[in-house]
Amino acid sequence: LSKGYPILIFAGERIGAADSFPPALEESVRAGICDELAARKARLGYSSASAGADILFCEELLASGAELRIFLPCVEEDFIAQYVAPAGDHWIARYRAVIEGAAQVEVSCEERLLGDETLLKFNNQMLQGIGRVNALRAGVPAHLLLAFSPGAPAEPGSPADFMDQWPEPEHLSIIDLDDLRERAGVAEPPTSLVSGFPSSPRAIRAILFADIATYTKFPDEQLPLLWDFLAAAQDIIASKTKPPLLINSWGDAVHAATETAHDLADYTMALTEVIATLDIAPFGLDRRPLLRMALHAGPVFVGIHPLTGRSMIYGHHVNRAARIEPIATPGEICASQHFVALLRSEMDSAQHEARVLGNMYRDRYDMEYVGLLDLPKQFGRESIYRVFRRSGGEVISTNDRPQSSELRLILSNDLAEIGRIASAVDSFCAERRIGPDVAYAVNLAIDELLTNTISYGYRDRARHMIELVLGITANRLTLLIRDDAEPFDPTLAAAPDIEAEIDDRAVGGLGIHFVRTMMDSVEYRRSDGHNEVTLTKLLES
Amino acid sequence: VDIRRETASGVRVITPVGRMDSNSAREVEAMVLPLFDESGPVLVDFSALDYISSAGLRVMLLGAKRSKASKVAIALCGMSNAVSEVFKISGFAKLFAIYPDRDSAIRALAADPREPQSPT
Repeated sequence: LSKGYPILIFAGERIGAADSFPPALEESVRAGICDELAARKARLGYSSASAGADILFCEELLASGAELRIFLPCVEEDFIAQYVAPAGDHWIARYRAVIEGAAQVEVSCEERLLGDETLLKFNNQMLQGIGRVNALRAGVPAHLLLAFSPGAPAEPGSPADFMDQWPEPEHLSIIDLDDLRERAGVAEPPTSLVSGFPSSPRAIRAILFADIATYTKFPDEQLPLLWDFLAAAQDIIASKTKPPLLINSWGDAVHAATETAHDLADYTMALTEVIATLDIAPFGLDRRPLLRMALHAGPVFVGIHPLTGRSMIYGHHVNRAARIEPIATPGEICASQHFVALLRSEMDSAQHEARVLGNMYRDRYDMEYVGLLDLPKQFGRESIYRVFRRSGGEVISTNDRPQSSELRLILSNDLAEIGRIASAVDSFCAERRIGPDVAYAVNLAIDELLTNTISYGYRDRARHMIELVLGITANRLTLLIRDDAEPFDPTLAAAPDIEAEIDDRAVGGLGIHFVRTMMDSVEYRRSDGHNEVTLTKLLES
Repeated sequence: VDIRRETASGVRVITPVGRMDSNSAREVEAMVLPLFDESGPVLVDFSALDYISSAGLRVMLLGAKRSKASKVAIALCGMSNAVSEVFKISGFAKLFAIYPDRDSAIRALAADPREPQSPT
């Protein structure tokens, strides 16, 4: 990815549906797309590939030399029949050409269409969510480009979907088909669209599969104690979050589903935190259970199980969710690309709403990319993320905005990130009346540790995430840096000889010396495959 | 990092602006080290520098080593309190002739271009 250029997310009207995109406007829409591509200089774009605006965008993006990633809502055969072929056979050839040119083609739901708007709506959430997640990871803006008809009624799954949940109006451009229509003297837009969709048998659900990774380590006689512990945990969880739409379990496995990704993140986070912190001693347990948790999302069939009379969900995405659970790291919340995209698009939508209402909004969750992992039983591969709580993130009224005493930053292993971190730390300190000398010392310690880790800590060339938490209390400032680099204990590094003359003076080793000199304490621990360095600096009151 | 370069009374003055960290140290290195291949004292003016880390000090140390080998004098001036503190705790303050401001540095370098006396 080229630094600074935005990632483009595109959605547009299609040709062959009602009258929303008259074929006579094709060249003027293409010209609008070309102008936008020239202005944005994007090197990467996301789109579906319906006949009409989508394919025009794909063609022009490829012609500009940029990378194209296509998301289709359903199996290809149905997609072509429903969204490409009605515009004419020459569109099928153009569809095949852009699919050929795309760097990546993903199907959001590997199922038949069944006349279903749910899949289109979900595909739009995937385009927006994945585009935004990747832009945030790369530290570049995500820019939404729409070619649609604001005058036409909004059909579910149409480009209008994006308008209502796009969080950054400054990164939005519209090619207005009504406007083009008027200038070309083409007939007025239709005032009502006949939706061909019957009510859907499917709904979008966020899906959890979990089990107790350490279950077999509990001796049989301790199992009743384990259930007592979980019952007590459940009481606390129920008081903290709303219950899932459905929850089932057998043995040590749990399966749950919610209406939104955010609800499921809330539930799973409460489950994780309560199980990690509830005292095990009163229950007579020798060890704490450790959960393996996998989150996924997608359109699924909903119904009532004929034998139990309880709610159930089924379909491709339920099976896929079950295949992700075995590869989850115990104790962490592991999520598929579909889940984080849905969560991202829901958080974006909440941000959009808060902006309209004049409220402050901060995301409650962060996600960190883990890697592209193989799923068991020939289910292919899945992009896996780790989801964690972002402190202080929630809806806050602007009237009594509390000043957070914590700054949490996530950065990737790229030296260029350090300038951004330094600015964030400087303004955090300045807002809390921390003097410039302390701010300098803190920035120096952060810079030296991060530079060390990023330059020497990783054996592969992959992207890694580093977490940094800066906290302030009345008389001290604490700093935690957590990374998954090779083990390195800065408290054990040899001190440089600072008395040496020029000829004998070594060129390295000063950074860690600064950290130890400038900070009042430096602690290190290796935990769960991560380095954790905790620094404190006493503040003069 | 922006690096200004000028000459005053035969002294070549380098003024890095902003931050000298692991991102920008290479640029400063590429500009400063070749100066010791030509004659005339070198002054690095830190008055526009907000921040220096060990990566920046490394470049200064390389400069000091080259200065000693080539007998082209180097001096520093215009340090903020924070930058000066970094030079102290690294032991680097003893390795360089450091002046409070550009004028006093240029006067000293112009008077004795080979071996400037430390003002302290």
